[in-house]
Amino acid sequence: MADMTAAVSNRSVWEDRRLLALDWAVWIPTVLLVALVLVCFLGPVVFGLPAPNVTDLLHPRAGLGTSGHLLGTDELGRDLLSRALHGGQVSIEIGLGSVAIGMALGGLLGMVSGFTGGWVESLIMRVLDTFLAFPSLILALTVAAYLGPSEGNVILAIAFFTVPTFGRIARAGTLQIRQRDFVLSGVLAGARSWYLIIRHVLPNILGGLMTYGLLTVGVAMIVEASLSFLGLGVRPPQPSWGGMISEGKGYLSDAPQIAFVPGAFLFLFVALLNLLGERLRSRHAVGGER
Amino acid sequence: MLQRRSLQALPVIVGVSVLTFLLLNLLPGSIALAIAGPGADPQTIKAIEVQDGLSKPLWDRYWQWLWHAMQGNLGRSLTSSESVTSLVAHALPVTLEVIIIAQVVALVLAVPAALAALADRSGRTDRLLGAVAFAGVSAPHFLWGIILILVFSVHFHLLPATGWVPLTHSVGSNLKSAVLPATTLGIGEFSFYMRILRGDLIDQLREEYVTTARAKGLSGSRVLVGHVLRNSLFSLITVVGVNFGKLISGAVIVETLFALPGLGNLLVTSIYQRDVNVVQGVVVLTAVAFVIINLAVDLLYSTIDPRVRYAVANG
Repeated sequence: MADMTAAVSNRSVWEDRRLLALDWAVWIPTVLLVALVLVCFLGPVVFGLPAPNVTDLLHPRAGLGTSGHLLGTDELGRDLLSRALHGGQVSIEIGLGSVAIGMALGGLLGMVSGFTGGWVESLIMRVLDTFLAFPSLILALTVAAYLGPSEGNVILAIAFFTVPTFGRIARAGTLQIRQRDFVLSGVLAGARSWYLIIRHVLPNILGGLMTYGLLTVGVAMIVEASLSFLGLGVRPPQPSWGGMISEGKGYLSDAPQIAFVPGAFLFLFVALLNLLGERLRSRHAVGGER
Repeated sequence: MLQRRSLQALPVIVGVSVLTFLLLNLLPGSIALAIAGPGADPQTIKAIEVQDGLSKPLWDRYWQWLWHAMQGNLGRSLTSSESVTSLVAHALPVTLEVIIIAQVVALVLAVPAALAALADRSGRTDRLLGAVAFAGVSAPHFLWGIILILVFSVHFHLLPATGWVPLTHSVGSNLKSAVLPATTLGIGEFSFYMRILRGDLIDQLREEYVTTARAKGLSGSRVLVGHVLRNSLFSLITVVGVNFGKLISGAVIVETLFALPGLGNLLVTSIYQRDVNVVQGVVVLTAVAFVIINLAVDLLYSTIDPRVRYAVANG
């Protein structure tokens, strides 16, 4: 693993970017993901869709392609496309928000413990191990139930279980970087730990953290959908993909679109994230995830 | 080795119990109010607080709870006044059965699939199986679950969409009620195992012992099954073992979707009812089980593979 990291860092940044841009397995999912995000956030306005909670009791459970409701309606006649796009906003915000918090906190703890060593390292790592000992959904479920249903609380609940893994990756990366000559010469020159961590350690482990972060966004979105599916996510009637699927499971025989429209959005988004994340991970092969 | 690794697990188990206890006892809203029900008068609430020791300081209550828990007493449910231990004892077999069948289904499909993909490396079969496995890991369990319900229950009326028949009632009906939930749970695992096994087989094929075996005149398939697959299955054991813990999360979703009376369902219902004692008991038990399973896998693996034992002893 060590020599692979060296190979990556020796390649110039410019060369790396050019190669990245030429790789269709990187840019196709990127373009599609950006397009999907734009559609979720701007679509409702641009396409002039009905508001997500407006009921149309004359047309409940309308099928795909009904005039005025492109993807049909749910049991209360609410427009499924509009609800799926608004639900997408919630999913994307929660996915990105929780990973950003988890990465910042986990990255910080991992870098500090890896750089400082000693009892600080033992303490931080043992606490993180304790969090890792909980099955992820059980932890998120308990925290979400404890905090109560709201978008901000779901972000915290999910961020909670992503911290330990980011911490471990950051620590493993830091342990490698700490041995390198440029850090050692910094230490000899009397530079402060904080300066070395931010100036030298962070830039070198950020790539690995970001790549893992991208894959974690997909996991976070699945956990969010699972929480909403269990009724512990955002509070209805605010739409979310998991909540919509849960509402639709009672109408599978006569109106399967109620469950499958949000299901397709969720699947598409997570699949694109995984495609991109795995490609980047195989290109970078950075970090010490174990 | 056994001693050292087990000692490492102990602080984690203690940490898990502290964390769970703190998390749930800092819940907004008083526990006594939850027991008495909404609209109870202050005296009743006060009486319950005194009776159940809820007015004592947090640490006292933690020690008391831990002391009882170590003796197998996890308290009583606040809603049904049944003991948490007996609730768990009733729910656990359901969850275990579903998880075990899911693992078996996943493995039975993953091994031949990985071999088929390997035989046709970069060909059509490989790509198709790769795509299937990729789809498998990109959607939550409940999405596969409702697809299975739609196909097998709604359209073909082959299997029940919800409900559970205990094994003691009728083996046939029990299996029938377990098939869909276990398959739902197994889809993600199948994908995961297949991808790992395929990758590992490819790595193994590059090893020198493969060349040696071929040079000795062994046929390609004998090398593959007798040497390469055997080695790869060893590393798969670790993954399968660790996954038991991950499947507990999946079971929560699957049991809710299929209305199975398992541990996950018990947890979710108790969360809704704010039944703190049950939630506490279930969360601690799953986390402790998770730690112990990981420990067991580590130990098992080092028994199978002498190199790991050697590395750990010197590490």
